[in-house]
Amino acid sequence: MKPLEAIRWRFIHERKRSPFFAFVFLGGCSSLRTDIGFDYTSSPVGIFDGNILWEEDAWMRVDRRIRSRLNTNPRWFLRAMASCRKLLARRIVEWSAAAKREHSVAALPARFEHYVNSLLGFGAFVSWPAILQGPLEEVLHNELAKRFGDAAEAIYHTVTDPIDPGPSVYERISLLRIATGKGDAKKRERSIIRHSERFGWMKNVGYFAEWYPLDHYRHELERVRKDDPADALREGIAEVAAKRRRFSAVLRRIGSDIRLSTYVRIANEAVSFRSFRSELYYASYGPMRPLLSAVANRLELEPQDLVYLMPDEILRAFRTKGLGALEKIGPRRHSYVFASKPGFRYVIRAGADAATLTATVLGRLRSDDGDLVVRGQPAFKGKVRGRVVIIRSLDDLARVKRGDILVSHATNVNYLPGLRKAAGLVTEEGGILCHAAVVSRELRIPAVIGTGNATRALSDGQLVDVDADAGSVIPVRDARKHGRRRG
Amino acid sequence: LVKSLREIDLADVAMVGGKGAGLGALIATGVRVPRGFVLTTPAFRAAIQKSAVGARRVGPTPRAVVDALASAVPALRARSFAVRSSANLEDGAESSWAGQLHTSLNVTSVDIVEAVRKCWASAFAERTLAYARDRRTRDLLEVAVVVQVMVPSTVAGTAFSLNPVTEVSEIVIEAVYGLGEAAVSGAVRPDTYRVDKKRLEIVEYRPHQQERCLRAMPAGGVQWAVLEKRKRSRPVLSRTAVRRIAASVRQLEKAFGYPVDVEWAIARERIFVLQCRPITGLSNQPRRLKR
Repeated sequence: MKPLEAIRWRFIHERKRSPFFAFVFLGGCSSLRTDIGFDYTSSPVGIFDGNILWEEDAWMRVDRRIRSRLNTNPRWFLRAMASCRKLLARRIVEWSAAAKREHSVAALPARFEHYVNSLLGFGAFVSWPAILQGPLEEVLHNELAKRFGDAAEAIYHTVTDPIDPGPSVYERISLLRIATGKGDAKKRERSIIRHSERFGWMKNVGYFAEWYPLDHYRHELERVRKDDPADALREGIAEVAAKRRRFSAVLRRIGSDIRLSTYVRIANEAVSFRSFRSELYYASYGPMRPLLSAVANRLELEPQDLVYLMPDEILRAFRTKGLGALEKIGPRRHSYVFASKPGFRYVIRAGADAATLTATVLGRLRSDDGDLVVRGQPAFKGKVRGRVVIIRSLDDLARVKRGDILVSHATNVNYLPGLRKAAGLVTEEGGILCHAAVVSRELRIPAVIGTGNATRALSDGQLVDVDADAGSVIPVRDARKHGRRRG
Repeated sequence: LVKSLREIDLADVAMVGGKGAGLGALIATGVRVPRGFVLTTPAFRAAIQKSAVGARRVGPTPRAVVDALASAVPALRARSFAVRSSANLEDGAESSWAGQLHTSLNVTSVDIVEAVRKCWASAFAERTLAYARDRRTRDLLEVAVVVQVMVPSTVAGTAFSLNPVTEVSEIVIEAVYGLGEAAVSGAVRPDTYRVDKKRLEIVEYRPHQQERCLRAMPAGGVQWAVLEKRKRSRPVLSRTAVRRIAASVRQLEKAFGYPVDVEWAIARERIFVLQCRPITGLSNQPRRLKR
């Protein structure tokens, strides 16, 4: 675990989505940062999306950047989206081919690393539309209203209806084609197998990498054939064509206004891109499924549990034969906090730790200070406020007065006279079964053990709250307002 | 004056001290305990003198004691030993006396007498007297000495049969590389495993990157050493080792009938139990120490 004080709290995420998602999302934001050239590291945390804490100022800055680029160089977005599509499609083909080859156990870590890197590249696809949408819609609305007045609203709806209908429509049309196609049962069987290979991933909601079985499509085919498949097919194709026509009509009405027509194109592309990339993003798990289950098998986990582990944790788990991996997953499924440092380094806290950490970070933000976080394991629970006495040698023990908080590297039997007077105990090293912990329980004093930094983070005479229920030590901001609770 | 650990049972407390009696009972439960013997309290009595004002102190080592050690130590057929105090008042369910009395680790046979004298002397140390005063102990403190074969552990630590913080009935294991003293004293942060008592499965694993470890030196004594880089980020215990330790702890709790605090060590893939005593400081027990 990296020392907490070194971390700039950029991104906190609880439950709802997997930590892996958070990781990839962050990757997307990083690549967006490179592309648009904004900096979101210099402000404290703000709130975004209800469950993601995000730097509010930074968010505003991104927004401003996007607006200004929409003003100066809107075509950039079209180019960027086109290259994203190409990259995605190429990677999927690559993975499908890799998945067909046998995964030797030795090659697994390397293959996995490649897979993760690709996904991180895809992070861009997760974060893009969410960030682009707000400014774009606003700009588009304004421009259309200026040009078309009352008709603007209808035109807006037309241009934000994706002309690329997306995989679910393609799947439907493909099935109808098989149903109406000529040929015997044998040929139809071959087609349906191909069809299931192409669209089986669509059941893949979330990251669970489940495919519709072939039987599902056989059944669907039977059902479709009972109705009038030819009619449905005609209707479907006509619907897609009508969308294209309506869109072209709008473009014609806009005519020679290149700026406005570019906005319209971006909007339409962004909308279809959003469904395209998310569907392909999930699709990528299809071809990767054999690899994922090979990884899961080796670590004795369920494939869907893999998303609760970070890529480097999985790579480490390869070395340790899975020990430690399973234990991490349980609490993370309940809740977790993901915090990143610049350059893709991060920490994850799960379970009760997550709650404490969120409270700590929010507490720190409220008090608007740069104090180090002092956190360890509770050895004897309880809360107490007192003044810090740091024990560096046995001579310091004489300075301990009744009600003080004894802070030291570790303790031994010689500390007993000081401990008997102390109202709380904080150590840097040790676990909940060590000497300091045992004595704190015998003396019934709240104790936080193994903080790693207490003697550096706290200073002599400082007034602190020892919260041994949560395992944290929090400096009291304004000492004059609060009297000493004990002592 | 000397009694083999194998011949001891709990009734011998007055003679072999709490720790010695505990080890005898421990052997009886069937777990693996390092070979050893106890230098009994009569030896302690023979060695102490009373000063003019009635205070007790350690006098010259009696000839009989030296002779007894001279025959008992080579019989253990080992190069180094752990020499621990075992007081008649120690390790009762009422107080842990944790670390009050002297312990020497990795003692070579030539230094045994010196280590024994240190154990005796610790009975008269200021901190011991203060502890005894706190506990309003009226009984006379007498110190027997346990001499055991040193376990040069690769990994070691402590284990409780009950989570002492939450008081949930589960097994908590703390493990470090090197000697277990590093974990017991709290000088390093250990890897912590919480284990389900019924299924013996790990409920939570809390790793910590250990940077230094305590090693038994070939010439005797122990020393802090920098832990090899490749070991730091690895779990100290394998899943199997955790299960084996947890099983022993469960077995011990059942045998003794109360929640136990166990020190264990692993050397050459074998698990040794070094100590087993009741967990102190639980909420249903009276407060141990006066504030």
